[in-house]
Amino acid sequence: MRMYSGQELVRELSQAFGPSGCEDGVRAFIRTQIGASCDGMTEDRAGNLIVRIAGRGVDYDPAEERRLMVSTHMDEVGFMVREITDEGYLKFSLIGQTDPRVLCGRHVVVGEENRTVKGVIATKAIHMQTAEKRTKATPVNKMYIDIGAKSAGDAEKLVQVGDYATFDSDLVPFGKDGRYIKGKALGGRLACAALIEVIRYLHASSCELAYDVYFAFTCNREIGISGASVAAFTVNPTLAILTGATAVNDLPGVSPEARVAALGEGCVLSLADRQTLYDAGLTRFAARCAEEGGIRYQIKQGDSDTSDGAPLQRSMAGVRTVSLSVPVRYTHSAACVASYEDYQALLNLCKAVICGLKP
Amino acid sequence: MLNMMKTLTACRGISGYEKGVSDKLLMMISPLTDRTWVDPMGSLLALKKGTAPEGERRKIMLCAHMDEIGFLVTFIDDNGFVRVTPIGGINFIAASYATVTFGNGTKGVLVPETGTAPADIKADKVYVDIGAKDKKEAERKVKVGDFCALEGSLTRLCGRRVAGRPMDDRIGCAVLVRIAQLLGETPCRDDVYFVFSVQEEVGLRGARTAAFGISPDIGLVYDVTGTGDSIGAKPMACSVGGGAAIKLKDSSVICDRALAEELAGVAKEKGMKYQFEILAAGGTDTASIQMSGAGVRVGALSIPTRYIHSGTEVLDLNDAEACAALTVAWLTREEKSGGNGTDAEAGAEAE
Repeated sequence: MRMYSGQELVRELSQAFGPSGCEDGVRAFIRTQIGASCDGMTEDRAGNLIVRIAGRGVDYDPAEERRLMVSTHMDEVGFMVREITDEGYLKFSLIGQTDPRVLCGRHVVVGEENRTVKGVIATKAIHMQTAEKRTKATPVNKMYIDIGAKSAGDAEKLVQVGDYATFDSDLVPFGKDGRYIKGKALGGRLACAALIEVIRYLHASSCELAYDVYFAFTCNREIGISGASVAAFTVNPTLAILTGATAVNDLPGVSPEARVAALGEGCVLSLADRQTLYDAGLTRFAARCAEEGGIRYQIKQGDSDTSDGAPLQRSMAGVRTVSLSVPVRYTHSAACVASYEDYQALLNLCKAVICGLKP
Repeated sequence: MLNMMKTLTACRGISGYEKGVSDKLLMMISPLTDRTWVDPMGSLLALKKGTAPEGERRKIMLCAHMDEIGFLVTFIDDNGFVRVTPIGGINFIAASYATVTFGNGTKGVLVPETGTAPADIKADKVYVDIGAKDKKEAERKVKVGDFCALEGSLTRLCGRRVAGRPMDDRIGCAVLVRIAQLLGETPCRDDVYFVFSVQEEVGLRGARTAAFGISPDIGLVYDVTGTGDSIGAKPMACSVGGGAAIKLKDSSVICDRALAEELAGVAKEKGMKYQFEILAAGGTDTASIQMSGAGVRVGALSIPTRYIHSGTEVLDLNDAEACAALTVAWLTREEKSGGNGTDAEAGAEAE
C-alpha cells in the first residue's frame, strides 16, 4: 500500500468511508500508514486503535508507569438506510448531528467499505414546491436517497437496510495558494492525519520522552458513545491530549466576541466546553510550548460545544486533560473548510507538547 | 468556625481553578490528618487513619466542594471591556452591578449593556468594566482565559447567622475541617477520607473521580441546601437554624435510607437538632459518589442556606456545627452489632 503524507494524507483520510460504528476502513488505513513506525499497536474491544511509542531518555523511568494518551476520533457523521421504498428509493436516518438543511441535493456513497454505490439525496425542484414549502426545511424523514434503481428489487441488489452512507465529497484546496481545504469529515480525520505524522516523527527521531505515549484513534464520538473513555480505561493514562476540530463562527455578521476562533490563526487551545473544564496547568504548558516553538495558537472563545473531553477526563480516578484542535468552518457538512496552516500548527504543537512534557 | 469562614470566603476559586482554595485548605487539614494528596482532577484529599486493626476498618468518604460559580474571560474589546462566559449556575440579574475579583486580584464591575430589559440580562448581554481606557491597558491586567467571580464577603448578622459568599460550599469545607479537629479529640475506628472536590458547580465532576480513587464503603456530602423559610419560598420543611439537614433526596440523588435513618437515630439519641431535607431542585456531589465504581452507599448533611448562588447567602453557623457534631457522634458511636451491623441492616431492608 502507498504511504501518504502531507496534504495527500489529509485527502485520503477525509475521503475515507467511516461513519460512527463503521470505522473499520479508516482504522485499516491508519494501521497501514503507521506500519512499523511504532512500538506496538492494538485494538480494544470497542474498536479503538491504540498505538504505542515507548518512553526514553533521562527522565523516563519505566517503574513510574507514566503514560500519556493522545486521542482523536476516526468516525464521521453519516446516514443509515432504514427502508427501501417500492420505487427503489432509500429512506434514511442520521448518524450523528447534521443540519437537515445541508443535505438536499448532496452526493452520497451508500454501502460499506469496498461495496459502495453512488447516490444523491433527492430534492424537489423549486418549481414544484408551494410558496409555503419553499420557506421550510424538509425534515429528514421526508428525504430519500436516489441510487438510480428502478424498483425495490433493483435497489436490493446493491444495498440493504442497515447500510451506512456518507457524503461523497472530494478534498479540494482553494483560496490564495490553496491555503484552505474543503472536504467532508474535517474534524477527527484532520487530527488522525496529524497524529499519524506525529507517530512517524517520534519513531524516526531520537527526542526524549518522559512518558510512554499511547495514541488512541477512537470510535463512536459523533453519536456520543465516547470511544475515548473506553480507550482511557484501556490505557490508564496519567495525562491526556484530546485533539480534533473546533467549530468556528468567523462569518460575516457575527460580532467578534461570538466567533469562537478563526481560520488561519493557528491551533485552538480550549479552556472549556459545555461539559468539560480542561486542566488549566496543562493548557498553560501547551501555550508556553507554542510560544517557545513559534507555533501559532489561539484561545477558544465561548464554550457552547461538546467533545470527548468530558468522558475522557472523568474516566477512572480522573485524567488531567488538555484540548488541542484545528478550527473548522461548516463542520458536519459535505463542505467543511479548514486551513492547512492550522493543521500544521496542530501537528507541530502536538510534537512540542509530547516531547516537552516532563514528569 | 467564623474565623475559618473568613479565610475561606476570602479566596477565589471557580470550577476548574480551585488552586487558591486548595492551598488554604491544605494548610488547615494537613496538621489534622495522616496523609494528603491531590488527584488528577485537582481535588484535595486527606486521610485520617482509624484505630481499628488493618482489615477491620471501613473507608468513609466525607466530601465538600471547593469550587464556586464564576466566569471565564472570553474576549476583550477595543474599548477594554471584558466579555465573560458563566461557569456554573449564574443568576445574571443577581450578579449585575456587582464587584468581581479576578484570579490575580484585579477588580471590575459586572454590568448589563445599557438599555437591556431586566428579563433579557443573560451571558451575552453583560460585560465586565475594569476601568481600563482601552484594550491595551485592559490586557495588561486581564487576558482571555482568566477567571473572575463575585467578590467574596462575610458579614455577621443576628446570633450566629452570617451573610456573604461563597457559602456554597466553603461552609461544607469548614465543616470537614471541624470534623477533623473533633476526631483529634475522639478518634474513630474507621479510615476517614476528607475530600475537597473540584468542579461540583458544573456537573458534580470532581467527586466522581475522587470516589473512584478511594472506593469508599460510605460517602457523606456536606453542601448547602435550599430552605422554605424565606418570603415567597416554595413550601419546604427545612429552615435556617433548624439543625443539621439530613438529606433524603435532591434532584440528582436518592440517598441510602437506612444510612439517613441511622444518622437521625444518632441525633435523636444524643439530643442533637436535626431535620430531614427533600430538595426539589438542585444536585450535589452525593449523586456522583453514589454512582462511582460499583456503587457507594451515600448520605448528605446539608447546611440550610437562603439566597443560594446570590452575592449574599445566609446561613446559621450553629447548623454547620451541628453537621460536624452529628458526623463525629455517628463515626465514634459504639457499634451494637459489630462493624458490619449497618450493612446487615441495609440488606435486611432491601429484602
